[in-house]
Formats: sequence, structure tokens, C-alpha cells
Amino acid sequence: MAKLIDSFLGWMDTAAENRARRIANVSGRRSFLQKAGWALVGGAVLPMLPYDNSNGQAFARGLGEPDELPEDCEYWRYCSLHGSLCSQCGGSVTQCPPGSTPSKVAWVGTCRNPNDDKDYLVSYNDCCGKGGGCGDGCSRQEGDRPGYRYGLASESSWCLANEDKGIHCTVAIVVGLAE
Amino acid sequence: MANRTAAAFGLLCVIAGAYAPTLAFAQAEEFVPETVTTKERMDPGQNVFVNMQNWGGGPSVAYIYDAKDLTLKGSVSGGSQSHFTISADGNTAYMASGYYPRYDSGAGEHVLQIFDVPTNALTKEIVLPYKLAQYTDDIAFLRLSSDEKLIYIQNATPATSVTVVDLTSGTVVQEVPTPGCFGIYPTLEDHGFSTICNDGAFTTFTLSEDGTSAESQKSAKIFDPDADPIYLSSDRAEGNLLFISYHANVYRLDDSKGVIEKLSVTPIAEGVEGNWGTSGYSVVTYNEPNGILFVPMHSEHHDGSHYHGSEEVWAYDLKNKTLLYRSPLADLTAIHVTDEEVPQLFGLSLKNTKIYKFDVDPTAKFAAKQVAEHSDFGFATTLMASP
Repeated sequence: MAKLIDSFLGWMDTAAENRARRIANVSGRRSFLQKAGWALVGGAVLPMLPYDNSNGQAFARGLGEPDELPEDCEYWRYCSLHGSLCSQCGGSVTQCPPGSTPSKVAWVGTCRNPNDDKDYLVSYNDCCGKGGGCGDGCSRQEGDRPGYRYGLASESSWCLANEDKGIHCTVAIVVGLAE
Repeated sequence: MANRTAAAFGLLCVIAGAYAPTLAFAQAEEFVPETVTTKERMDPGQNVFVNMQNWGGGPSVAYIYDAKDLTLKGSVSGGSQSHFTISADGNTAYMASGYYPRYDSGAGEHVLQIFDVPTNALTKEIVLPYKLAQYTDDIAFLRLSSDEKLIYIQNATPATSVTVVDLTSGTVVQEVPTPGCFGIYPTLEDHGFSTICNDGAFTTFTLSEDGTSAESQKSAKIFDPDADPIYLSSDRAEGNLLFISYHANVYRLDDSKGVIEKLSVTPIAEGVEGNWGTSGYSVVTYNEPNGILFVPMHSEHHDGSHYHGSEEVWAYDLKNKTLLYRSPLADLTAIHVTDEEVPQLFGLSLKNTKIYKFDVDPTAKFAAKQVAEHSDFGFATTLMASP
């Protein structure tokens, strides 16, 4: 499986920029995922969750979420977050603020949803191309690993694969059920 | 009375009038306008270096403190998200960093810069492949070969590789692909380095003399990245490599045979009440003359707490596998101990944005006591000292 990760990263690195932009623009920020260091797959091959784009927010259905999502670091989907909350920077839990661009790559956490007691894969994408601090900084970093498991490494800039390197804030996208 | 007062005042005026031009002239003669100059060299003495990473697109700075009292003596600066190291004699500094003309958008450049430490002067620049790891600093990202002829630089795009630079010619001689592996741990002899891999093994790359080619050999599994993940932080102990896990297990490794071999695993918190774990980023530092490992630690550690600040710094006798002393040093996220008979311990606190110096007493089980501090360095996770 490690080879799969490596080959995927290599492929992503050399050939996927245009495709990644398209995925990011069309499908939200479900760009690239890794589960517990041994599965890194693109949003295109994961089961797609139905997204509700009402009220300027996009969040997965079936999570038992309240209408208004919490804006603090203890919110369950922020279990591995290491960054500042885009929901306090003009974006939302799943949306980068206007004028910024979702990172083409992301680290992934596995978080327990207290609403249904299930574990979900959460993709943490930095929003890139803007400077300036905003929003509460969260550093729960559960499941974090150093860069030898890069898909779990929250200490990396995840704007590293974007042309625009500025890091603005971080969103948390529920992309699938953890097995 | 009024007449006498007036007469005295008049006499004073006459005397003052007579001497005033002389006084004014004397002052004019003595006044020499100042001119601006540059202090040519830092004050001599042992130095402590702190790499302050700028994550906003602007300049990073390596601050240079007097090891005696943490007086700020000088600095060198580079681009964003810097990685930093020094030569063995402490007289040359190296910084790899990113230059982004628009700070937040558009193209950029990754550059290795070399500085003369005594004068803080930039002496050479080498443009690198645009792949430098944009990652919270660890000393494992920019490492000199043992003879200091080559320097190894960590890349991540996030595909990982290592750029090899020949410091004599000032050129990039090779990019070594290191898929699924991260961190650079140079061999003590010849040219080469080991790196930590995602399955818990290490891969060792043996380079040719000129650094232009490499052969690799992968080790057996050394640690379990799921159950007992190790930090990137490391130090040497009697020629071996030391690493530590989130759960405070010390891995002692031999890299002298072209492939990593595990020598021992020592659980330093075993039997200590309070569920203690390792704290911070630069978490492994070893005092060779006394065989003492220093580790920042926190109690009730849990998933996600591995980068939290310390509650204590433990002095652990690695030869006798004995916990000697637990100094109550709070909020440290990086430490470095010197290799002296009477060690000096330095620490960084991300929470307090300060550098600290602690005296360590070998006659009191290596207890550490704060003797100096300095603020204002910003975001830093690595520090090192010159001899």
C-alpha cells in the first residue's frame, strides 16, 4: 500500500495540476485523501457524499449535524486540524474565503462524529493565495504523523502544490466513512 | 541691600560675559560629528542559534545569542519557511528558504544561502530545485555531510526527495528520490544519509564521493508508525542514532553498515505514574560526556498532544537506563544540550516566544535550573549551539 501512496503522489505531482484544479472547482475541496497512512486516493474514486450547498455552506448529509455548525476547535470534525478556521475568515467549514484557492493536496484525519458514533475521514485543505491571519487557531492534531506519512502530516504547508503559496486558513471536508 | 545685590549680579554678568566666548569656543572645538559605521564582527564566544521561520512569505531569521547570557549578538536572514544548520566549528551557517516576490501568490524561488557567522555576511547563494519542504522546521531538513563538502536538503511537493549540493562547486549535483520517506540523517563517514519511511523502516542512501550517484538499502521494520510513531528529531550517542516516539520510547540505531539496524528500545517513562509522553518538536538531545539524554515531557499524554509544551525536562541515564531527575521546566517545545562535562541546556517555548538557558548540575543528578532568558524570536522549533 505504501507503494500505492508513493506512486499516487508522484502521479499527482507531475501530471495532475490541471485536473486537480478542475476537481477543486467542480467538486468542492475533496481533492486528495489519505486514511491512516495506508490509503491515499483521489476524490474521484471515493464514494461521493451528497452535498447540500444551501445557505452558502456545503456539508455532508447524514451526519446528524445541527443547522448551524459550531465554530470552535472542539467541533468533532476538527479532530486533526492544525490551522485557523475558515468559517471565521469569510468562508465556511467547507468553503475557502473569497479570493483564496483550496489546496490541491490535503492531510486527512479520522474523526468520531458524536451524532452517530461513526468515524469519518476528514480532509483538511488549506486555503491558498492570501496572507494575513484570521480565525481561531486550532491544533488538536489527533492522528498526526511526521512527513514519513505525509498524508497525515499536519505540520506541512498544504499550499505546497499550489502556485500561490500563501496560507490563509483551513477547511474540514467530510469525505467518507472510515472503515 | 538692594544696591549690594545689584552690584553682585552685575559682577557675575561681567565675569560670565568675559568667559562665555571662551567656553563656547572650547565646546565647539571638542564636538566631533558622529558617522555611521557597521560593527565588523560579532563579539567572540560560544553562540546559540535559533531559526525563526516566517510563514507569511517574508524573511526568516536565524538569531544568534551569546551562550553565556543569551544576549542577542547578531543574526542572518533569508526567505520564507527557512531550514537552517551550522558547520561543526560554528563559523559557517546555512539557510534554505523560499523567496516569493508576491509573498502569497505567483512564482517563487528556493535558495540555499551560506553565511560567515562571525561577520553575519552572506557569502554564497545557490538556487535550488523549486521543491524545498515547506514544513515546520526540524534539523533533519538541512544536513551537512560529515566532511562538509556536500549538503543534503529535504524536498516535498508532497512527493519527497533530497537535493544534494556540492558546496565546493556551488552546484546541485543530484536529486535523490526518497518516495514515502522523510528526514535526513547523514552517515558519520563518507557520503550518504538515512531517512525514515512510512512503513517503519529506514532507507540508507550511499552516495559516490562526488555526490552524483546513490545506492540504497532498506532496513527491516524499526518502529510501528501506527502504535509508536517516532519524531523526526534525533541526536547521536556514541556514534549511534537516537530517536524517540510520542510515547517516550527511545530507539537506538546503528547506521554504520550501510543499512539501519535497531540496537535497543528504551521506554523512559515506563513505571512512572502519570501517563507521561514526549513534548514538542526538538525532543532528543544527548550529553555525550555523561551519557545523559534530556527529553521534554508532559503528563496524561494522548493522541494529538505530542507537540504540546513540556511540564518537565527529564534527565535520563541512557547507559544505566535510569531516570535521574525530573526538572519542572514548563512550556518548552524544543531543547538542546551541549556536549560539555558540565552541560548547558537551552530551550525554546512557542507559547511564551522565548529562549531559555538552564544550568545543569552533574552533582545533583543533572537537575536543570533557569539562569537566563530572551524574548522576541517568534516562531521557532529548532536551536543549536556552536562549540
